[in-house]
Amino acid sequence: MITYLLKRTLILFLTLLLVSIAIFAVLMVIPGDPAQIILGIHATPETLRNLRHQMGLDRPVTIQYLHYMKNLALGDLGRSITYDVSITSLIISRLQVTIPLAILSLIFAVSISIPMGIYSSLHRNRLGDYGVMVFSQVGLAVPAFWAGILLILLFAVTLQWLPAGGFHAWQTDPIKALRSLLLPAFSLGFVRAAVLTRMTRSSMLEVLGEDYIRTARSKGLPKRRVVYKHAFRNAIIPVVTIVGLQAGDLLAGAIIIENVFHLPGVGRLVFEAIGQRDLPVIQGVILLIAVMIVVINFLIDVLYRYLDPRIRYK
Amino acid sequence: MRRFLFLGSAFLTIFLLATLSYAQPKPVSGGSLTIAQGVEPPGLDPTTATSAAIPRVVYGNVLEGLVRIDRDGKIIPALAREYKISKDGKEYTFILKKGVKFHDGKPFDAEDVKFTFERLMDPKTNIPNIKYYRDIESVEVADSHTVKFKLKNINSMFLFNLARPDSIIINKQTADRLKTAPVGTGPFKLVEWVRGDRVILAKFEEYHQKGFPYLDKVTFKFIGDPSAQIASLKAGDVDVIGYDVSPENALLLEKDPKFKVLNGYTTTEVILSTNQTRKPFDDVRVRRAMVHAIDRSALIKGAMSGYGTPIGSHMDPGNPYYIDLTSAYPYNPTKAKQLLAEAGYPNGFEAVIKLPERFAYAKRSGEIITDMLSQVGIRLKIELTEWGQWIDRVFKNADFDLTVIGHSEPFDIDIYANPKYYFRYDNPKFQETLKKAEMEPDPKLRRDLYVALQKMITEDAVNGFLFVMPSLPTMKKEVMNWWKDYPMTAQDVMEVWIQK
Repeated sequence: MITYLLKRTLILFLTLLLVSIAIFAVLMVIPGDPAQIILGIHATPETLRNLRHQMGLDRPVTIQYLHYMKNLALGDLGRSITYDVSITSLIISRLQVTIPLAILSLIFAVSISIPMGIYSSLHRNRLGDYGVMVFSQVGLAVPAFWAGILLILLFAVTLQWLPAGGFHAWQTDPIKALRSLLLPAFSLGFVRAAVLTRMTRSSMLEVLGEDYIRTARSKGLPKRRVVYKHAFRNAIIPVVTIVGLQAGDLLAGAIIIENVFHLPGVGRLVFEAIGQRDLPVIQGVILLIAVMIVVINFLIDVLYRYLDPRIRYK
Repeated sequence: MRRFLFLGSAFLTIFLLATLSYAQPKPVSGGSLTIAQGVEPPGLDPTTATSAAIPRVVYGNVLEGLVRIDRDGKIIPALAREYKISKDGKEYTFILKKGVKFHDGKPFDAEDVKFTFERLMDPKTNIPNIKYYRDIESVEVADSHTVKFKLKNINSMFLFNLARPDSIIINKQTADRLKTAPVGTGPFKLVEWVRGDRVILAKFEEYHQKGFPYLDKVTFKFIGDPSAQIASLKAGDVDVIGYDVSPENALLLEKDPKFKVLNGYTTTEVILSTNQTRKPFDDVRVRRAMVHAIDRSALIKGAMSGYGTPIGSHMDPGNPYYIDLTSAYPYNPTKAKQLLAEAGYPNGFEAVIKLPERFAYAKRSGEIITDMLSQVGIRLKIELTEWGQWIDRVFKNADFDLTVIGHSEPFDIDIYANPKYYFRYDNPKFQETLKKAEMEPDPKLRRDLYVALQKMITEDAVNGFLFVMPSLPTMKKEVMNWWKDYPMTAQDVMEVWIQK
């Protein structure tokens, strides 16, 4: 296990190094000059030159990169060009929205999909199964942002139960903060639930057809016990893989949904930073995403082991 | 019968009087207002960055200049009580208001004005619009509340430039906070900027105009997605959408009794920018043919649901020098074909139109123009371009044939005097006339010169002049006194109040 951990940590650092080089290269290649975006289209070449110099954009790319990596090694992600605050504090404040949003949407997704998946596998080709399949088909077809807009129309505009968007800080009012995350988390979770429902159903069907299930049933175990103890635990492993992949996908989903619900999260931060060519922020967020994906994958691996003690890591 | 008539007319008079007094209700103090804004300002300093999102939050609300633009586009005093211009037009004396305080408690005086302009003129400050202050020779403090500006030469745009958001007055002690927590003299002070979410302003109790502002609290909420803005307005989370309401949404909300939409001008001229150095657009006959081929009113109907005012030159109808030149090239496809044939393109030609993907008005206008031009044989290929790329390719490197874009800077006809400007119009006569206009002290003669300038670029059909963007501020019907026209880039809420 320890060598495994060391290996994973090494992979993490290598991934980050590659990501940082790739993102630096991409940002250098795409057109759009941050100084020009700040100064607008009427700035004189002289002012532009001065500002580029102040921002260090006139130095060779390799020097810029090494300088950035040096600061990164010291734990300094730099300062945002647009907001003029440290990127670490900016990202931390935005994670207070994005992480609860991600967790909440996963909770929604799992708590909808697992029971539905199990139910439809046990009622295969019956009316309930068709109902569940129709639900998941709709979930797969509807993009999260559109689901978001429909939810806003129903719950915020017509019924006025929940806010149409925006966020209240956890410190001032945790209930309001939670309320403002419900609709976006549901619209993200809904789409995920569709995938997970199908996955759970097919995985369950596969396991239910195994010999040991028949054996368990024929030796007189109650159905309930067979389903939950014998079938479900074996069926869940591919589902957990998908959950892990989806968790890595969280930020991509957050970019869109945070814009629809105008939540000040990491997704919106990177979206706006790209428009403003706020390079240090883009780099910071992308590195964070890389870290998160690697860490989540690691956690999933550990979880496999818990779910199936036969799995061993060397 | 007669008595009934009398009674009837008496009732009618009372009714009319009642509605009349009802139509002009008295402003009420108090309450808070939430304004949805599409773009979050990249910093709150309007002097060192040009994003229009900055003045739309701070100008007139937090920060003020010596003079300002009123609702009709006229220059009126703000922090200056009055101003005098010397006979030779090179010296401006401003008598400052007394008893004005900054939000940090510091009294406002002539030294602040001197500091403000010396900072703006200093090349190290890196302000993008340094040209506004290029003609200032010196700023002198005559006494604690009198400032004299000496100019190198007459500049008829000087006062207008002082009314721009770039010329806001700050004090030395707080100048370094301008980008993150500006301190001004305006009716509202900054409470908090929650980055990525909102800016909160509160009434400044010691504001120098007694009785103002009416509102206690103003919040600017940054909602990028237009349909999310509308949903928030309908759900009651925001009270006003000040800018960029899409025409089709305006049309819908106008019919809803809970809301109102004001249809006024902005200073954004939407034009079909044409690269003068590329063939065949270097030929004036081709450019004129294109204008003849564009039906402006159909374009406005199609792209803007009928909102927006057609223009025939590069000036908005709110400008005091504006003249209507829309009839210079009436819609006439036959004439257009004839002109193309004369220019040697009897079968038309092919070209690329690069449309900034970020702006719906530009995309739609471009698509409609592509169709209209195809009727006369000009076959355009549409290329949607990301904004950063548009700035780099089209604007900086003039790597384009045609594009559609709105020029939002107020009073910006001077861009046609810069031969390096992206549409590359180089006309020495225009450049000379503009210089004359800027140095003409006599208002009547100056007006004539600006009229001549407008005619010149229309004559040369430099760009396809399409329409002025409508303002379309949309709000709950209780919101009173919002600006209908936007003659300056701002969302001034000093006089706004909420009907109970």
